Amino acid sequence: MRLNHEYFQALDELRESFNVSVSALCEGIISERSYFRYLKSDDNISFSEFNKLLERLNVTLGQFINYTVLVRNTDNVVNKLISRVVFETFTDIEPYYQKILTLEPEDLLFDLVVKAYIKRYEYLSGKINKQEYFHELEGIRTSLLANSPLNIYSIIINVLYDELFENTAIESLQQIINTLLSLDFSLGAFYYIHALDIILDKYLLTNLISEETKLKLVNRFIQVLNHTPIKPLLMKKYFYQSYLSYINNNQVEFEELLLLYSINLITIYNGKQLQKGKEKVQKAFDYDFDEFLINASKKVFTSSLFEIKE
Amino acid sequence: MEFDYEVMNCVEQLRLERKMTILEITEGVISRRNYSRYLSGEIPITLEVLTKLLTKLGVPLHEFVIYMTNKNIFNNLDEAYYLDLIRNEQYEEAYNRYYHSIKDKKLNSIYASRTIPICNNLMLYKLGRLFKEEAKKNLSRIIDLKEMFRKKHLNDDEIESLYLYIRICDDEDKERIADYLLNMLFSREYKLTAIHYEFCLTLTYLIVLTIITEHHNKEKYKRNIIKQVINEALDFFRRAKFNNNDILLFDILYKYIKKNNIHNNDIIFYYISSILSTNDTEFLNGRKFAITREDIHIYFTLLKDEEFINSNLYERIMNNALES
Repeated sequence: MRLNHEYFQALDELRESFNVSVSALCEGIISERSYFRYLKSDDNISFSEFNKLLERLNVTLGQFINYTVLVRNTDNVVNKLISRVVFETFTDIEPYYQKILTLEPEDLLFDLVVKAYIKRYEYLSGKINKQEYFHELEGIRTSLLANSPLNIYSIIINVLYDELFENTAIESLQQIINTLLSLDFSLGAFYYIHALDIILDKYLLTNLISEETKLKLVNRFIQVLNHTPIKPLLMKKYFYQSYLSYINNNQVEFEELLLLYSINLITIYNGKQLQKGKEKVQKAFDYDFDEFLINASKKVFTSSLFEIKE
Repeated sequence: MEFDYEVMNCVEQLRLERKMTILEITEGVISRRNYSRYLSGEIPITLEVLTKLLTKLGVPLHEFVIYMTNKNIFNNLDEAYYLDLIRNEQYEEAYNRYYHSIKDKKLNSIYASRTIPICNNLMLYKLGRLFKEEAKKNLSRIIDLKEMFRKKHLNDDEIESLYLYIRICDDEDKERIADYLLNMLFSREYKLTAIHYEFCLTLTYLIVLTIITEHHNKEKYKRNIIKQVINEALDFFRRAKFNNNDILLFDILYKYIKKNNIHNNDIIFYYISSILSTNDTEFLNGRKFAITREDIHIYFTLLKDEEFINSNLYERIMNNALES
């Protein structure tokens, strides 16, 4: 089991950089002899003993895993590639994409998710066409165990697949939505948010799902994003919040939220993405984006947020 | 045993969520009897067994640890919210809403050792409930720079605490912090061991830039160093895309160009846009951003400039941040 060995090496690196001796680290937890045995062999340390050693270094398990995955292995390609695919910002994605193609997948459901995102990138960047992307997703979907219950990984694969059907939905969509709404989003939170967003993006302005379901999805999206400080996700939250204000006829709140969406859109995106965002506003609210942005900005400068000097 | 119990509890929750039987998850890994013993905390789980069980669940170890971390965050939201308010200089709000419940509780979040105790002292000082010298004395006990900087790794708690500490410490400590963090930013030997890695890196840039652009002695940090940090920061912020911190970064850049008579319309536009791009009341509450009529004119001119809007705004500013 190489995993244990690799983790122990990372632990030892931290110990050295913290200037902590082996005896000080091990005291009362494991013997020094065991420490060196774990360091050199594949013997297994118990998880709680390992965690106690980390605690003594004042490093939590989460920080440790991030260190080993994100920092020590500076090539944490999976997360980097997927976040770029989700936000559709491809300027520096290619090295991660090339690297990920060389990795040996393990036999995990998670690896199917990774594969789906690789194919999504290939499709969005024009490496493969829509038909090829569709067949790839179909194959990935077939690899999911039949009759196994839905979880966040199988849901995102199904949602990516469903996204490709124009003006129609896959048979299991309602079941997917119901499961998604009932899941604990702590596991795979990023995929959870992306799944909600893809569904809303496709169905919000259609009659293919009920108004009640749409509201549940919008509210869930807003709830999940209450804790995120990431701008592209907040931008989406502002859009859905403005939609809620719009259908509730709250004009003032609606325009405030739409301005937040619009300003984020122009500062985060350009080109195709910017155009797509502008069209979304036109389609949802029948507003001219550029005109709205100028008029709504004018109002803000009269607010108490700014102190205007001559 | 509490930790093993917590780990296995998360495994069990995932098993139930995936509607797997105990036989399915344990087959070829451990006996059903041992699974129950792990679950009750009777025997400690090893990394090997945990990884095998997670493989059955289709979840990689790092995703599982993020799951456990998220659970810890959601179970200690009061500490996280309290820190958010203090970080955003909303001391009054923090005091009224959280201080009374936080001051006597056993702290459980990743900010328990340094950051939350620093929050308490900094807030009491800012609200006039503690003398500055007393607060500084308390802080020097909580944050021992000499001890902290002996190692070459910093975690979430340490970075967050430094971000708050520079609001009260003297110039000598600020210089030590800037020197250390410049190493963190530019030397591969120094690493962040943080759960919120990107957020901590964001704070690191903000700490360094605050210190080096505001230093009373202009000769201390040369313009080329400032320029290098700004470029690296812009490159990183462009990718990290954190709300509010954009305002803090451009607030530093805006003040710097104004102080040094550098004419850069891109920075003015982005500074105003970043302020308009958030409605986070816990960040904005009571804040007032001083700008000029000329700045507003620049904002509208660029807003109507199609070529400008269609360009990559961050890339435009990078490399030209300190140019007129």
